[in-house]
Amino acid sequence: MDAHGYDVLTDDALDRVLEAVEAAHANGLVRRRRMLVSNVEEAARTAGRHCTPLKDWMLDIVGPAGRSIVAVAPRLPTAYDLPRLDEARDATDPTAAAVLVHATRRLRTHHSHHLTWVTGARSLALLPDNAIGAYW
Amino acid sequence: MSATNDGPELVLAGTAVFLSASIPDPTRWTGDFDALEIIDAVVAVGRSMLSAGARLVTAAHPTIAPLLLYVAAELPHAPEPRVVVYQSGVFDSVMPEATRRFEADGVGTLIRTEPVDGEPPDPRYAIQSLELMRRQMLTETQPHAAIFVGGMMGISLEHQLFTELRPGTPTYPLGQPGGAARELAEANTSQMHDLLVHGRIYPAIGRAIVDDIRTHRI
Repeated sequence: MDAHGYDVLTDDALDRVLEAVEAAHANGLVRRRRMLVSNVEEAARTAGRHCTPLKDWMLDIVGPAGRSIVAVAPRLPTAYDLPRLDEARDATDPTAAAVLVHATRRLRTHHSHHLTWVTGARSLALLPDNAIGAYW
Repeated sequence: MSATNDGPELVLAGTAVFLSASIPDPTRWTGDFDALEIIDAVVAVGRSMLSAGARLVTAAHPTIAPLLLYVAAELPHAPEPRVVVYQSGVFDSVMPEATRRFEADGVGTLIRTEPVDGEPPDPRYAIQSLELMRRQMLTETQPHAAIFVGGMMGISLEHQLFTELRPGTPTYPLGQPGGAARELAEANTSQMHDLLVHGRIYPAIGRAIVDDIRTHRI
């Protein structure tokens, strides 16, 4: 019991709660990543594109309009997502488009400006996941 | 960066879609269900409808209504609330704070229906209050389609009432998350039967439902 009269968890119990929360969070992120990748893959295949899974939850999508390397972010996209995508595109086909599908339906202006600044002259596209169907 | 931040086309603007969903209570439901699949399906399908410009109509299930209101809050501001939540007055004392907060923010509208005297705030015993709420919800909003996810006996009752009040209007029960909606999916005779029964990529199912509703509306 603490100084205010509330029952408190022991250190061991608190560790177990934190472990359970971290495990649930990790599982949730994996589920969201899997759903994002499956969603992109399904939309591309439905549109007649050929899809090849790459490492790190990325896809290589080829169709009549060209080739795209697609990465996913199951949360707000950050600057750290961009070099990973750019490097994967350069390693696969430097002429391919590079698309980051993210789970943020509305990017705030200052965040969008930050990502634009980080991207510089590189050709990288951001796509919210609820616009996937219209993209492919 | 050639940022593509545009959302999808608002092909369902002016369309009301009824979403009937809940996570079964294991003490009252012995069938299979997966709570995480139900949440994934509700979020993905709800997001598809709202992104296409539809207005969602739902009953105030304490685990579902806050989720839908959260999804609506992510989207650009709309001139009118995107989610209409019906709540029987019999549950006034147990309304989640999150649901009230979203209404205050203009994301959703809460519509309270009259309770029936003497019924307690327990879905097992508030039979008449719930019947009154469901009938008023579907009569006032006249949904153009209905989606069913998870749930228990209430899902079957809402499906039955929907088909009675809105005959010929498409229904989309999802099978994979389990609950009472699985049986409805297996009994569904539409062209989307296989996708509804076996589909697990819920955003893709959401897109297919948007396309199908659009076809019915044309």
